[in-house]
Amino acid sequence: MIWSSFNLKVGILIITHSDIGKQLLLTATSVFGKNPFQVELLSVDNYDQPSDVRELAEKYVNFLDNGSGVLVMTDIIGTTPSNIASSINYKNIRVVAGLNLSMLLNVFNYPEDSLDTLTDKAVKGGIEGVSRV
Amino acid sequence: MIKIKLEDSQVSVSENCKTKKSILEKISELLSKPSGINRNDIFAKLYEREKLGSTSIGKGVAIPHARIHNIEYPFLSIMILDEPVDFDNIDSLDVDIIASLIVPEENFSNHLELLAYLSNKLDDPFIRKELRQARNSSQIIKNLRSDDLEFI
Repeated sequence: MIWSSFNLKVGILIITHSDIGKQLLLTATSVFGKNPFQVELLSVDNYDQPSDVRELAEKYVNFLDNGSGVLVMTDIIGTTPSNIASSINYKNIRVVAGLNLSMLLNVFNYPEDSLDTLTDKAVKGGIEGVSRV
Repeated sequence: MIKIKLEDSQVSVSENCKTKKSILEKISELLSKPSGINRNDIFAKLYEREKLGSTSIGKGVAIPHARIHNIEYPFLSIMILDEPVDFDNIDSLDVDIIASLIVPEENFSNHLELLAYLSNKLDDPFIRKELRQARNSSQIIKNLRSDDLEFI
């Protein structure tokens, strides 16, 4: 077996209000050329019950974790998506809020990184994306 | 217990597909007849999902999946290729085992259980080896069997 098959990637779960996550992901994938991660999307709308969405999120995380853990990215801190993300009952996840295009693109650049390093890259990319132009 | 439909007509071995798109087209054809859903509609859903990111899970396996309105239960399709194909795979191994799933839009939760289940099963090197040698649905079902699934 070749080395790369041991080095399994972090999975990514994006939880956002309505369609934001999908549009950001499509745009990042188009800009970057490809999406190097296994990724799933979960959208939260006003009529959703947070407990139902949390249950789905836990199933997604279980599906996405191949041993390297799962990075959960949400749009804005303190709202339902990030509250759901931070209530996921699962050991090997990290949660980052403030999802933007810069964050996604920075993450796409480091597909081989560990969960903790990738989480730092996500935060750094997200912050660097906000600046006076 | 989750019901799932898999019969011989939904299994394809030694298919001569050279691209990801032709694989998705073939899957849509395999799933169209048993589900009664237009193949173009299935293709559109699978293709739309792939645009968000590859459904490759590594080690030569992909699990294209989509939610479809007006189907009664989930339908599975299995393709085994002689020649692995570039599936925008997340690792360096091109894909030769494609386990594709369409599930009722209304029953999204079961969808995820099935995906997690398939993903775990196909993570087992022994199961992958058996599937690469399988030639019909009963040989495949034998390897995917679980107390939580009812193949119909």
